[in-house]
Amino acid sequence: MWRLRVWFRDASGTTSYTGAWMRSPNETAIFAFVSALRGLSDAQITHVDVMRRFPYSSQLPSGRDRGISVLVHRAVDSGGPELDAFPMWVPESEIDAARSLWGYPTLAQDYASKAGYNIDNPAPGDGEPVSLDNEYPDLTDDYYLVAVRRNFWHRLLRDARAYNTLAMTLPDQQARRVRLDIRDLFLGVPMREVLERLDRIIELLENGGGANTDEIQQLLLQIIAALGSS
Amino acid sequence: MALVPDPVYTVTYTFQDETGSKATTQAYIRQGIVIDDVIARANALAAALRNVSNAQLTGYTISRGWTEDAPAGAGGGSRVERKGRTIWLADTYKTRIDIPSIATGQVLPDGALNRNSVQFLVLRAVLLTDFVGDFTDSRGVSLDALAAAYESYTRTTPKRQPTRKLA
Repeated sequence: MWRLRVWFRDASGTTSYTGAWMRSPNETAIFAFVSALRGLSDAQITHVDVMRRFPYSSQLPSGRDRGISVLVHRAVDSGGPELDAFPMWVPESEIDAARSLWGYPTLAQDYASKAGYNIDNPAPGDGEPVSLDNEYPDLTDDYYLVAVRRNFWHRLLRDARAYNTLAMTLPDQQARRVRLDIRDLFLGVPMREVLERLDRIIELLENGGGANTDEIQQLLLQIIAALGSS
Repeated sequence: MALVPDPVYTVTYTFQDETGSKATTQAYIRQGIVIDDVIARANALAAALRNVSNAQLTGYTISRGWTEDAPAGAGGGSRVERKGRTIWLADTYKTRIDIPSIATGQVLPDGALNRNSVQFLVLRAVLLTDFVGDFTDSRGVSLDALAAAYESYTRTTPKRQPTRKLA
């Protein structure tokens, strides 16, 4: 069943919603229901949503620590200029498998970015950077893939503050390079080395004003060298 | 003042790996196609995702939203904690639909809602008559009668407290 929710806000700014179950998300019925509620409530209706969960019969968990792939795909307006980007996370996937996800033109039809722009038929490998030394994505790329090991990504998220501090500590150009390198890590990078050095960097940054910026820069250069050799 | 649809349907896929960790990813499907086609496309992408992920794809949720483009503002003294509680019968089971901040003019002196007001009759017609079978209980059984309608109060959760709290 579809769950319809109608959201209200009262004079104090407090929000609440009322829900109803529907057999199908019939827009005419939804609007009639909302209109009827308008007549009965003196609060303001702010928005409406409808949703339905489709569970699969097998709920047995599987897979472990294979990393996360991120697809960033361009979105265009009916063959026009690039207007939007569509990032998509695929948990527990390897990059070769994820690369084929959008490889079917018919599959991509009617998929859109969040703002509603078309994801045009993507061609696998079209302009896709294949290594850190190759190139970073540019305007000619249809899409690109990033794979990040799960633990590494979790560590970055856990200490996002330190990550931001890292970017601000370094000169702009180098900070940008580091951000891009971290963002574009591919599977196969000697991750243990990277993690150890990033942990050391975070430790130094967490010590506040006493951070040894020379040592931080040296460690970052080592990371960049490690990434570049993979 | 109108409800403006979001440009897309949002499809949220949920995964679970063997450690029990859960993750989600989202895709968007353009609006303007019938819901069966939206489900078909969500299914097609689910099959592709299942092939590329080692985690178990446990299901997905399709959602769509509309936003009021020019809110007129809430009525003076309106409070969403004051509900108009309506109980509907679906076969022999009951289902509840609350109306936040029920207009005071709809409440009779004994606390019951005025079931014969024009506004209430419109709601009743929408749920029971105008779109027969569209509105159901959670099992999918169509609503077929009104069982009760009265004023009720619920406590406010911390997340929904007023933005300005009076001393």
